[in-house]
Amino acid sequence: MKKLLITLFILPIWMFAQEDGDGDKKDEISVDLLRSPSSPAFTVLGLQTTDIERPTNPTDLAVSLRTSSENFTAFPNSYSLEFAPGWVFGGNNITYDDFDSDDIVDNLIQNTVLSFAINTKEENDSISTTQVALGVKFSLLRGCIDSEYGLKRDNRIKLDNSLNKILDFLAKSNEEAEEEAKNDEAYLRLEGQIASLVDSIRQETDDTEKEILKIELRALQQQKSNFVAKYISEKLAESETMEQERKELQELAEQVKFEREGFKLDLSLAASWNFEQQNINNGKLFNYGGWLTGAYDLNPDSKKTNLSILGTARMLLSPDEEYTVNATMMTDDLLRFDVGGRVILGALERKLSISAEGLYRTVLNNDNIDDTHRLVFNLEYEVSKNRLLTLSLGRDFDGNFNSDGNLIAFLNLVVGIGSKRPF
Amino acid sequence: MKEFNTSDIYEVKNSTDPVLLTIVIGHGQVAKTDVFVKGKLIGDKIENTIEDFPVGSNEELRTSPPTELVAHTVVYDIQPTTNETSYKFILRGGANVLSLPTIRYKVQKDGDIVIYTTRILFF
Repeated sequence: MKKLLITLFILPIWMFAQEDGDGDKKDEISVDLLRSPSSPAFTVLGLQTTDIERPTNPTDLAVSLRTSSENFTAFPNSYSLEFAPGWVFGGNNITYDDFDSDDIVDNLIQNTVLSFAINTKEENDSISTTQVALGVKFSLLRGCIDSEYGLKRDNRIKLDNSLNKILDFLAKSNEEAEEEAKNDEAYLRLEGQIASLVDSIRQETDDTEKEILKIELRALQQQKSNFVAKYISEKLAESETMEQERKELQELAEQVKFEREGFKLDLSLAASWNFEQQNINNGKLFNYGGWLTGAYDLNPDSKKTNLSILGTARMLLSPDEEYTVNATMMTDDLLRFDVGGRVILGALERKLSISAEGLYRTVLNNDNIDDTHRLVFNLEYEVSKNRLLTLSLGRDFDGNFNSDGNLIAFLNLVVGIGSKRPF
Repeated sequence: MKEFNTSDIYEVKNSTDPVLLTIVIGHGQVAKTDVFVKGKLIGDKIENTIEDFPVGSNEELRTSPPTELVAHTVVYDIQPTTNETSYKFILRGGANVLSLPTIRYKVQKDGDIVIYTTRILFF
């Protein structure tokens, strides 16, 4: 019992420690190769960056660019930016129906993501090289959202009820404000002035005079509106019911999960350049390429168990790449072609995810380099929100067996706590 | 909870053409709107973006004392990836098109709401 209590006490601390340490995690093996990279610029540089600027409006974008470049006077050493131009510059026109649709035009407007990365690294000979990458991802097909507003039925009803209550409160307060205004001399005088001004405008034939009267009418209407608005605003601030509704709506937002069903197809393109000694004149194209990734859910209606199948094809060209054949160093433009698939089984209301991935790689323009492959088995279990137990096992392209994830460390800890050995 | 109150005037014609209301709720957010004309509810809890909703004919809205339209909209930040919200109010079918400046507001937390009230006086 004592050991169980110790385990239960230490476990949450350990879980928090895992979360804090994520930023330093070395991904020896990853199952993300088959996922369409949302940030192709980072992928093409091989960066596992967590510090990515994701502006959602033009002001934030401008501030991010200005700050990172010291007011456009310097080249940043390290900077990662990712944004969707459709949302940043045209978000005002993206309605919920547009978001919900799987129309290809809507997909391209909303899901085209630009990424930009700068990374400076120091080589063994202490020469700094700045890497710059640009990428773009297009979602050609993205599937349809599987639920109304990304909520379960009862939560969807709760949302409706809360919004209805707020609207009813506004209507009631508006009525009360107008009723109270009938006893306010200033308000009644204002109404009289408005009525008489409207009559004057209707009779006025001179356009210039009419425009002057309209300006006056607009100002009076503003005054009248302010009177009612002030009353409603005070009522809202006083109301405990409205405060409660506001809190409930915020809690409800945590339940929102937009999952898309159907066939999904993404196209990603990226290119990167190296600048040796951080000199712009030493710029050299490092690599460029494209990915085409498709996915399909086989039993999308099931919340408990679902099966997804993904396929990808990727071309990546590395100009003047150095490689070794029989201990001889050679240089050539290498065009790599990867093709593969992944099967993902989701279970336990999608908390458990088991997947297997296979990729075959061939160099299309060089017979000296052998074809190779990679196989990965992955397991993920969502213990709580943002806390995952993970395990990856597999063979990488270089033929080495790798493992990664926190599951083994977690099991070791539990076994350690439960054992009779002193520690 | 943030509130925005806007008011304006709108000129109607001597015709039986309908005056149409459009309210665009941007950034993929959800909303509900009540529309009142002369204090009477003519649009009850309309969801999300409203497109060309008839609020009455020009003749019906050209009254003495003047008719007022009140639209209450509650916008809910449902998008986990952005806290941006926006509201665009447009009237057409009268003497001209009235397009009020788009109000854009970034809420502090997911699930926050923004209340917009617009009052239009027809003349």
